[in-house]
Amino acid sequence: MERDMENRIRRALAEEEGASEQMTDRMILLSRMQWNAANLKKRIGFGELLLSQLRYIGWRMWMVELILAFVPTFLIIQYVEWHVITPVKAVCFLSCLVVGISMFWVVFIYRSGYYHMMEIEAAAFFSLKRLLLSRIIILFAGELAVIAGISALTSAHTALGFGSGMVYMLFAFGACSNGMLVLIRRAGMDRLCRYFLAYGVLLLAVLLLLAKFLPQFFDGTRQTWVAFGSFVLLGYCIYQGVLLLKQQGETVYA
Amino acid sequence: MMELRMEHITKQYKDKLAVDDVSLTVTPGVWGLLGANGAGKTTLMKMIAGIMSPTSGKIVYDGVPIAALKGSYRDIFGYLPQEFGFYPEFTVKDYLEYVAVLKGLTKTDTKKKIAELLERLSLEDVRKKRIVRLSGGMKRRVGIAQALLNEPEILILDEPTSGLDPGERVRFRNLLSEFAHDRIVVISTHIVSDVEYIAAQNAVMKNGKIIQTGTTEELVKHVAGKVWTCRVPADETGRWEKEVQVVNLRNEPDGTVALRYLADEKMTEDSKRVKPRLEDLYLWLFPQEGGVR
Repeated sequence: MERDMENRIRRALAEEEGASEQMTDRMILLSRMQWNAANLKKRIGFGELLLSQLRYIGWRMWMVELILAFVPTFLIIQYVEWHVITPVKAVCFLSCLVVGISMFWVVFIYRSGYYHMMEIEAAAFFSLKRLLLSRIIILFAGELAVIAGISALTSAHTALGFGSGMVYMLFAFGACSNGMLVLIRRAGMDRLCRYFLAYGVLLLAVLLLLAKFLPQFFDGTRQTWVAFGSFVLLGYCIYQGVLLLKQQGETVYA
Repeated sequence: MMELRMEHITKQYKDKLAVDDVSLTVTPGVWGLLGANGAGKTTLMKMIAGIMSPTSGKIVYDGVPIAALKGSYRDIFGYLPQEFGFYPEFTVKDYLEYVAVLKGLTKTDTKKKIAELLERLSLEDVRKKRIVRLSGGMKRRVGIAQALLNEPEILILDEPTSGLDPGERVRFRNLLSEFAHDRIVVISTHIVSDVEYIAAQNAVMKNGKIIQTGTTEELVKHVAGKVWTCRVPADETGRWEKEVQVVNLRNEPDGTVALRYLADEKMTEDSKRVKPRLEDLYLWLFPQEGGVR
């Protein structure tokens, strides 16, 4: 509400008998609230933000993701002696590959900080966390396509079935994504890069240790449980995404 | 009335108290936040921008804590950080469109607003140029443009005139004066002349505290009677600089040097007392800064 209007209200009430300063202030506050409600600026929704990110980063990130995912897989398929690759090793490799690709998300956060964009992004209407969420959704979509593609490739050249490959990769994907979403929700943005990297390395170590000391996890005998776990993890990812959408307050620095 | 109130704001880092129990009420108009490097200005600005949490205290806008306002506070807020950056692939237009999306502007509003700002800030000719290729002053103008995209009610500018030439500074001051009619504008700077002519109110920060507030006229009274000018031989300027706070020195055609200095008493018989400026107050309060900006 403009100052002219405020002054006019004050002058009008000053002429009224019995109108106190307190009453005038209250009247102006109520008028301002009414004016603000009637003149709400139109703002785009999260969906439009999401689509806009396709233009700014989506296609670049998908290109890089494709290269990161398919080049090593292709090279391995071409040059590796497949008779020495057991299903356990194949599954472990694919799970680690998924975690490695997911860690690429660190680039987003690093770029924001490196190019001094973080503060401007954080101070804007949508905030940095919702911006990150929009980019993660785009990457999720790309990564699911990559996972399906790699599954198809490996099932064509190894004893590992398409479904088995997908289940284990989705499990790793779910574990990685959930950890990263928790970090985005809880950690200060200035430390996110480090925490992401640390979490990714930890997850890789866990997968490698599982392959060495608990190979039955990867040998297909517990595939139903792994599938159930994937389902739960992916569901929790979606839930965390919704929480992030609703979470409006944030700071870049703790 | 529109009001941004800081109540006992403190920010404690591990080894430093950056902002120490600052309380300040800011109303529509231009506010200058002055202080030397390390005074706590940028930390305070970040807390006002909502991107840093205070250790204690709160910031309230029109009676509501900004932490509670969340997105609706950021919607009416424009911020230019001290270290402002951009992704290297962006042209001026790309960058403004990107920030407009982050600010939630519709496509129609974005197009209209960008066209208006490009013209007002003389960036029309470079709109398709990559920002990395622009001069420092032009980059800073792009930064100011992004802060104004959402027609903010509160505009926070941290060292906005860094890199601008004198002509650009004057244009910027005029733009801000026009903009601040019904809005709160806070400019943090240690370039005193940027705010001397346009700030209705100033706050001076030192060691994390607000040590003085007031209009320029009120503040300069603190150095009234302490500002002098005189002429000295050129070979004595070194001695003078060691003995008093020299605000300005200028070489004269006759080989002498005209000095403007701060002292409780005049140092030579021919020294003349002169009307103080905000720059004099700044150097009186922050003598280690030295020199003229």
